[in-house]
Order: sequence, then C-alpha cells, then structure tokens
Amino acid sequence: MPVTDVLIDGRARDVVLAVRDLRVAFSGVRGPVEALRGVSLHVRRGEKVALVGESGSGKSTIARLVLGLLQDQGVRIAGSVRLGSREIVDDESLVRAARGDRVTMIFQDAVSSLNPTFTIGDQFREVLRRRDPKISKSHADRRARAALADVHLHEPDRVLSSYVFQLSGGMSQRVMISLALANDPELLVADEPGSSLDVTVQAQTLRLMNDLIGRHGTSVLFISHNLGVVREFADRVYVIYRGRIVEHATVAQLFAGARHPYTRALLAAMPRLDEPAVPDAPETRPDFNDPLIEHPGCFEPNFVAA
Amino acid sequence: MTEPLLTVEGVSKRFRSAAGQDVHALSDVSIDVKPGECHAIIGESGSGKSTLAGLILGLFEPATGLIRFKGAVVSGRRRPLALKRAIQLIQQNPRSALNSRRTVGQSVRLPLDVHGIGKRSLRNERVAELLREVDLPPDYANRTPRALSGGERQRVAIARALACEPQLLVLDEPTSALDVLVQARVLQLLTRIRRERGLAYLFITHDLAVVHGIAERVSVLEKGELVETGPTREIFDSPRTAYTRRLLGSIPVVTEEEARFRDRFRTSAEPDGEDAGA
Repeated sequence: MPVTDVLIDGRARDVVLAVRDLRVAFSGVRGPVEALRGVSLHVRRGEKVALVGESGSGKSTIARLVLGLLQDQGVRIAGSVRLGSREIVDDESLVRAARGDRVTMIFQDAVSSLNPTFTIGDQFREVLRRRDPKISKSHADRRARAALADVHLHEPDRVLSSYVFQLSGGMSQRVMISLALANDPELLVADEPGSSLDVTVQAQTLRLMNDLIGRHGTSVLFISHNLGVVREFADRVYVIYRGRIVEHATVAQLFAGARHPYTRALLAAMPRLDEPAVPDAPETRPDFNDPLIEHPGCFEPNFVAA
Repeated sequence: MTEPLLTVEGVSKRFRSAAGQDVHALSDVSIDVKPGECHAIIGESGSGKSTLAGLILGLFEPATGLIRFKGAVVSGRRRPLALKRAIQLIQQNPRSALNSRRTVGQSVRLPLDVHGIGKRSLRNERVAELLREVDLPPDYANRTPRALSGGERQRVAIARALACEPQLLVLDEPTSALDVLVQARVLQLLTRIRRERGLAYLFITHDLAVVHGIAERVSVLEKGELVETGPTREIFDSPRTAYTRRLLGSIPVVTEEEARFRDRFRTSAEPDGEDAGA
C-alpha cells in the first residue's frame, strides 16, 4: 500500500532535503563495507548546512546519493532520502529529472569537472536547456553573460568562447558556481568547494558563493573537512565520523562549545593562527564512537504516515 | 653567528611555457637555512616555491645565482653521492612518493644499500629502528603502501629520508594532503625528529597557520620574488607587505581569538576582480 508521508512539524514544508536513517554498504573484497551507518540530516529552505568529516567518513557518499549518482550501481542502500516531497533513495530516475535543474552540485576541482571538449558557452546552453528546452541561443548567451557578471567575471564573451584549460583555477571555480546556480536550484550540494585553490582565492570564492546564494535564496548542503571554512560559511553543522553523525549544532553552538569527543579532537588538531605551537595530536579513542549529541533546537523534523 | 647550512644566493630560474613565452619562476631569490633551524617558505601556486625546492635538490641549474651547502658551491646535476644523501625530500603526496611495487621495508632499505650505510647484515634491523622512530610497528616492513593510510605512507616516506642520515630535509607541503588529525600527528612527529636529530628543515607550504608552531623563520614568495623574510613571530605580529597581510587575512579559523587576530589583516577593500583568481 503506498503511503504518503506528511510532516507534522510546523516548518516542515520548508524542508528541501531530508535524509533519514540512511545506510549504505559497498561491496568490498572481504564482504560489504559500511559507508553510512544510519545517518539522518535535513536542510531547510534558504539554509546553509555543513557536513564535516575526514576522508572515509562517508560525507561524499551522501552527496552522491542526493545527486542520484549511487542508485542502481549495485550498492546496498536502506533508509530514506527525500528531495522536497520525492523519495529518491531507490529510484535514480526521479533525481535524474531534477539533476542540473532543481538540485545541482559543485565539486572540489572545477577544472576537471568541466567538460574539456566544449566551450564554457556550450556548457551554459546545455545547462539552461535543462530548465527550458526551447531557449534560443541568443537568449541563453544573454543569461550566461549575466550569470558570469554575477561571479565577477568581467569579460563574459571571452570566458564563454574559452575552453576550461584557458582559464585559471579561480576562474574555473567561478564558472562552475555560476553554472550550478544558473537554473536557480532548490538545493546546491557543494563538495569541498575551493579547497584545491590558494587560500586567498578560496576566501574570495566562498565570499562570492555566499553572496550569490543569499540573493537566490538557495539551500546548500556544504561538505567539507575544514572546520574553519564551515565556521565562515554555514548556519548549521553535522559532524560525521565513520558513517555516523556524532554532533549536530548551529555553527554558533559548535564553535562556542563542541561537546562530542571527536569534534573536540578535530578542533584541538587545527593549527592555530594566533598561537605559536604545534597543535595537539589526539589519538583515536573509543569515545569517538559515543552517541550523537544534539544541541538545543537542533533535531530532525518528524515524519508521520498519513 | 652560525654559518648557514644552505645558502641560496640571488637565484633566478626561467621556464619556457607551452606558448613559447618565458616564465620567470624565480627572480633573484636569496635565502639561507642554519643548522638545526626550520625555515618556512610560504607561497601560493605559481609563487616559485616548488621551483626553489627543485633547485636546492639539484633537479636543475639556476639561470643566475648559486647555491652553497656548508659554504661550498654546489652545482645542479653533477652532485656527489654524499651531497645527495645530505639533502632529502619529503613530498606532498605520499601515495606517489612511494613505489607501490616495493614493500615498506624495501623502500626504507634502498637508501641504505645505495649509500652503503651500515653493515649489510644489520640493515634490516636498521629498517625496523627507522620504522619505530616514525611510530610505525616494525612488522609494517612486510606491507605494501597500498595497505597503508595516507598518514602511515607519509611516515614511511619520512623513515626513508631519515635512512640517509640527512642534514637538511626539504619538505614540500608535507601535510596538506592529510586529514587534520593526521596532519597534527605528522607535525608532532616532524617536530620531535628535528629536536632529536638536530636536523634543519626547509618547510614549504601555502598554510601560514601550520608554520606558526613549527618554524623559527618565515620567507614569503609571491610570483617568483621574495617579498618578505624574518623571524616567525615578527611576520605574524607585524607583516610588512600587503601580500603577507592578505595571506594572513584569508585563513579560515575556528576560534574567536583567532578571528580577532586574523581580522586585523583584513582590509575593507578586498579585491574581488578576476585578476585575483587568474
């Protein structure tokens, strides 16, 4: 019997992405490897939510599922991933229709995620056709020029006729941001954006992205290993350790008083700009696996079957 | 005044780009490293910091200027084995730095065989000691790099460099490919090894926060030119150039105190033009 889920939380209709008790296992040489062991998280409209963890924590697995890039790949998936009102955990076709239009992604390395064989202008037209298949070339180019101006690329015609190898890393990152936001998506998944760039360029890129997202009202799932970047960019944060969320807080709460042993270890290991000392190097401890700590006001919205 | 271990005097290096243009990778750069000192070289991509490492390691000759090691001028390519042994490199990516077909033990033993260090019959025992020195269990000698984590691979690379009993380690972004907890452990290890062995480090990085607790001196490279050099404390307290201030002002931080420290270097008019990214 098909069951329609209804959210009972008053603000629940604002939930753009809801992941519930998500379990993912890849097949490994010695049997299945659990990448996610029951992850729940959500993003509300206009919110910037960060998912922080080290390599191997499962943070990029979540991004790939939300983009529909893991379904039908022989990966064991259980739980729920909802994009708006659509359940996409077991049906890649639903997210395929939305990908590039209502949900988009920016990657760590812009240079290798843009197609090297098409000009930037070609790639803009393809993206804009996802939303409006009949858009004329001149209209698409006009939209593209405006989008490039939004990311402070001041020679849009030169950029549109360029291939990615003709642009610098910082310019490519800006092009990717403007492509990702061209169709005004409901949700932007940003996987370590700018982390392959120089710090000064990264800082500018994040400022730009922040500004644009604010103007478009885009919701963002921001995936990063860098707590410093999260502190500057996000509203709310989930810390993930070995496939489990261990701490959920607003950014203000987390940086004023992280409570989970793992989060505290991560913070202690950050080199300090204001202190001439080698950072602490906490050993991996059993209490890194302590249960989830939710800070006041941070909880998952309730779902009930109608 | 201690005599420097390494001196780089007025070194320049040009490369020919694919488009046939000359690119000035380094212009008239002078730095030195004293025995037992950690000298950090800070720069972003294109600053010339890896070119500088290549020149010091003798991978190519400078166009102008010269390099001295313990006072004697050393050339690029034709270096005596003893000099190659004295200057060792730690690379950014420990995955590609290790030969994936060799076991850890073979990789660490190779320099002992090449340089004829110690008695042949004692070399495997020496490998075990070196692994212990970098906090790896000696039975890791039988593993291949594939079976190791990124941090463990970097420890193996450090053990292999130490096998040569070097006097200077050139560390080119040694922790920037590592997770933050692993980075902290490797930084602690490098600090301990330097203290115990009295080694000198040339520590190349883009991350100013990392060098704060590690280096006695800092030099800042911008587009192939040395724009600032001085004791670490002075660079962090009162950077003299706009570029160093911009670097310091760009670092993402995790505490209020750090943010206050950092924000002193932020100017109201931040350039956001495409030139900055080009």
